[in-house]
Amino acid sequence: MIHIVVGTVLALAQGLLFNNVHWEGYFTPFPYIYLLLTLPVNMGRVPLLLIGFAYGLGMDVLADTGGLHTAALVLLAFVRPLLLNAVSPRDGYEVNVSPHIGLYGIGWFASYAISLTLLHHATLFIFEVFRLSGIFFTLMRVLSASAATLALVFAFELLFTRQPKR
Amino acid sequence: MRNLLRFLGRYHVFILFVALEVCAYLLVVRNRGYHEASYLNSCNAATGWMYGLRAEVIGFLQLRPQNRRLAQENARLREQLQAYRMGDVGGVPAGWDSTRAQQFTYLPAQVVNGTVHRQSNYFTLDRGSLQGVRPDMGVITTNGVIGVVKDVSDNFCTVLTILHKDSRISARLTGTGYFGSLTWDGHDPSVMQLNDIPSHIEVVPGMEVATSGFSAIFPEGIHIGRVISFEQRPGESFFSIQVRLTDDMARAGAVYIIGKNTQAEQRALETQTEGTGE
Repeated sequence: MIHIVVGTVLALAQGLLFNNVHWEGYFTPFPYIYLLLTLPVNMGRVPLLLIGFAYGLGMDVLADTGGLHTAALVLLAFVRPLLLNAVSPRDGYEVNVSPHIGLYGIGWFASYAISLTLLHHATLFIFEVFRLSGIFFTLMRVLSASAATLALVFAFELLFTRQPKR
Repeated sequence: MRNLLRFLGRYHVFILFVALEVCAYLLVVRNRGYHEASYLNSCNAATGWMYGLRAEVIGFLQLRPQNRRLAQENARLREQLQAYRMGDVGGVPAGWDSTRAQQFTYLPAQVVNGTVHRQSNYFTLDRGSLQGVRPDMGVITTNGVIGVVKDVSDNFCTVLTILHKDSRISARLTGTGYFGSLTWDGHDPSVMQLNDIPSHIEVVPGMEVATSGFSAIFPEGIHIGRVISFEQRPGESFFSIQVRLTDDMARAGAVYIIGKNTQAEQRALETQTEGTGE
């Protein structure tokens, strides 16, 4: 339930606000991926892919980008369970937990979020390159946008989720 | 068969992933316009529906009143600019003179309905006789000519657009002084035809086409578009010139209705002259 609210708010914020943010073509954040990052760990892979597809399609319609966001988000949805397995704790995840800083600490969450963000943004911008040009320019766009997105993702985490007791 | 089912069962996630990526790829390709709408029909219906939804949402959030205020400000600026241009012709500052009093008024309006894909295209604007609109007033956007007011009700008026088989706008090639009539052949709503330009003058693609100011409807020098190509048919001494409109008529939203204060006087005089000629 909470995820529907989060998804709607993020989609509107992305379409109306963040898509228009940029500095010389760099630093456009895509914080809408936060929804896919924080879905429950034990969610089935098929629903995850379908959610990624539908949500990406919505983003493409808002940004008029055809299927770029869809392609990137479906890839993210496909890789996410593999990555979660790779960084899982020794005795596996508990049922019904979502990946947050509060779960296994900031280092764990950072490696998880950074990997998926870079993967998603790289797919997005490289897929888009078919009409732009210059690999260095593309790389800088990936890195700058990832930095902007991750800053927002961590801001969401610190503002809206319960922090672990020290 | 059993092996196939087992294969599908085992790799269904990966197969679904590939299928969704292919669908996304097709959407990208389609969006780039390499292929026309005919394939992936279910996706078309879905995106068509969502585009409609988007238009609704964005239209709702467009801050209409703010838009209108800006349009009114623009109208005021255009009036001032016109008065300024009339005031000092040829660099000579003019004193007050009744012939240089303001000739044109600009009334901002919004297109509320219209087509561009038919042979005879009309727009409906949200201003009518109560706001001072009369038939035969000109309608322009910030970057082009829309047409001429045809019928007027209390709060609305219809416009016979330049994309109409009966429309004829007096236009000139900027810089040459030659003028002709601008018509539409009914094909491409972004390309019109400028006729009656004598073939002895030098025409270059990219030349500007603007209103001539002869018609008592539009002021002189309203930008319309640019020459893209021209040809001379055998046995004719006039060019047929293709003109690309600068403004996309299909996207016209905020427009200005132009009133000419001396229009009635000019019309009466012209009618009188034609009457004595017969």
